Amino acid sequence: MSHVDEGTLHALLDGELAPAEVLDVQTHFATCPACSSRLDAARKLLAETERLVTALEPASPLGGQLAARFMGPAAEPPRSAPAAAPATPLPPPWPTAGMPRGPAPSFDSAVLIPNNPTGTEVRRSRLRVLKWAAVFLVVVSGGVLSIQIRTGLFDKKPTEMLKIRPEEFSSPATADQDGPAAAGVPPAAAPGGASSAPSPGVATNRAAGAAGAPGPAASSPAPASTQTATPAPQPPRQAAATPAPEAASRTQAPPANPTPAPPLPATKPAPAPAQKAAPAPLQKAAPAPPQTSAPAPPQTPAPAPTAETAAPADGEDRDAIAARAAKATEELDRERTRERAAAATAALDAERRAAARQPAANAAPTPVPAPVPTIDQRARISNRIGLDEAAHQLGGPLHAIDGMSRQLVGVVSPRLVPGSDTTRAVVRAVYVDRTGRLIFLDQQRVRAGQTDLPFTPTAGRSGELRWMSGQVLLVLQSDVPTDSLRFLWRRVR
Amino acid sequence: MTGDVGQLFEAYHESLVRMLWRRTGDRDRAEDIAQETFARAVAAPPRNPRPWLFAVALNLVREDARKEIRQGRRLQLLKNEVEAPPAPDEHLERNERVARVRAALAQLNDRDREALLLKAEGFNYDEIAETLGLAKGAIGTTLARARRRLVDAYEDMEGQAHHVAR
Repeated sequence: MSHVDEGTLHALLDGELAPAEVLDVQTHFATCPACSSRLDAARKLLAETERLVTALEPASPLGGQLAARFMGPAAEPPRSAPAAAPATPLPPPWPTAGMPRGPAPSFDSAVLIPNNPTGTEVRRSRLRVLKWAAVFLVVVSGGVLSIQIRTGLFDKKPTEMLKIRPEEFSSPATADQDGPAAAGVPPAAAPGGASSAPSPGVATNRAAGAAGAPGPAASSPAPASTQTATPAPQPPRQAAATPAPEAASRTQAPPANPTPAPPLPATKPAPAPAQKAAPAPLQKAAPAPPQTSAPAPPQTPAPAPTAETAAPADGEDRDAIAARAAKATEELDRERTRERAAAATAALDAERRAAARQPAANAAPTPVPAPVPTIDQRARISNRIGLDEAAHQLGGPLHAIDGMSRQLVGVVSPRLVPGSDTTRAVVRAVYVDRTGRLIFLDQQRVRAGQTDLPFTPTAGRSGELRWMSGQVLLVLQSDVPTDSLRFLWRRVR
Repeated sequence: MTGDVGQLFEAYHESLVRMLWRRTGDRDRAEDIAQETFARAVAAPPRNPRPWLFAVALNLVREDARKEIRQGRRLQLLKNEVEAPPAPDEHLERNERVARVRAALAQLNDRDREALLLKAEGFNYDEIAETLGLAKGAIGTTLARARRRLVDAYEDMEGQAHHVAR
């Protein structure tokens, strides 16, 4: 076998060679000191390279921010136990059967992944935004027009119309509907888990569109029942006195805000359950005089009407309530942001600790296959010697098996050679047959006058053959049958 | 689909960002490129995701590097790394070592460098071959050359540093 090339050496160390190749290479190493030393050098090179590459190990945990952005709240540790963020070992390559990695994080929309747009993509995204804006505008305009046509607002003066509009948008039905509907939007749908809340109308649209069904509030007539049961419904004009800041404050409310908007005088009928989400606020805001003036159906009245519903507050009170609600909402937002930041910080710490523990595991060298014993080890040679040294030991030339290639020559313990003199070294010549079995031709110079040794081959208890040749005891040993050894004996020169 | 991407993200994001960080030396860039890579995975789900993700990410790195060369940002980045703000001794020493390793890594050609980094991420020869579009039989030689060059370049730099220090 020719010398082992560098790539094979590294493949051997990387555990990428087939077992047969490993055996070939190891056999070659047994006879080629140069390749053995190259293997050692390659091993050192590999270790040094891993040390260098590991030096580039990031000092801080990876992907915390991006994971939070990508995975949404699923990637964040639970708030009750923020330090329990687990380090994630690599699973088997995807797609294996299922990748059992716990509950799969929910991804409700590809919007979760912010894009790094090229110029074309920027233009496309702008066009997309414009398209949606146009659609939204058309829907809203249609809704407003339909309301105005139904309520005959075109007959009113423009100033009255202006007064009515904010109240329509801020009706309690709208507030009630927006709250739960927006809360129905999974937090993961917010890009990057940001706490900035979209406008309630948009949130309702999104929730209804994503779920493919009306939002929970849109289909729930419960709030409406309490409102319609309120005695003395007020005409739309009275509602028109509602100041505009209320609507503004409600649009600032977060989707999942548990703080209800201040209830307003209920003047609007219950929205139809099958209402579409997009025009819902406008349709809900549309007063229907025949329904409100009609006697209320036998419904359970509100058990404890609030002060506002029982006795409508004046404009200043409402302003104050709206301001307080806006302030409370902002505070809640800030508190949530702080909580998230604290949770994220705790997760970062946990990740950092995990990352600090991981480098050792990451830097662990690739598993090298269990070393195959070298031919020296298999032959139990304690020391290799050259032919000159062997001749010196034996007092004559080393005997050899004709027709076979000697793999190595070395010194072995006399205890390994049956019938040998335990006070003298034994020279062992090692051969390998075609099936890979080792054949030993052991040779020992006997003391002068020692005549109790056979000059014809004699089989020993272990199946070995022993005979004398001049002053040298020869012992032929192998795993092969004794008959085969006798055949080999004939070829010993 | 999105659930699959979530699992994909969970499984490979950390490894991908680490490899990209080692490759670019810039954490923000690494995370941006990883993000772009996963965004592409959403658009076109890969069959064999690990090599696919790393191949796409490395393509993006190369593309980005070409832009950087045009903009002259690359040299500035390396300079910034070497001239990091004063830190405690051990940090300074570590920063210098990292800068030397990175500079040594920069001397390798793309193929060698990427093979080395992929191997460091636990890729086997089949996966490296698939990611880099090479024959499997060439990976051993590629890695051997890359390792030797990296160590040689690093030792050269270390020698220069000692020489300058004296």
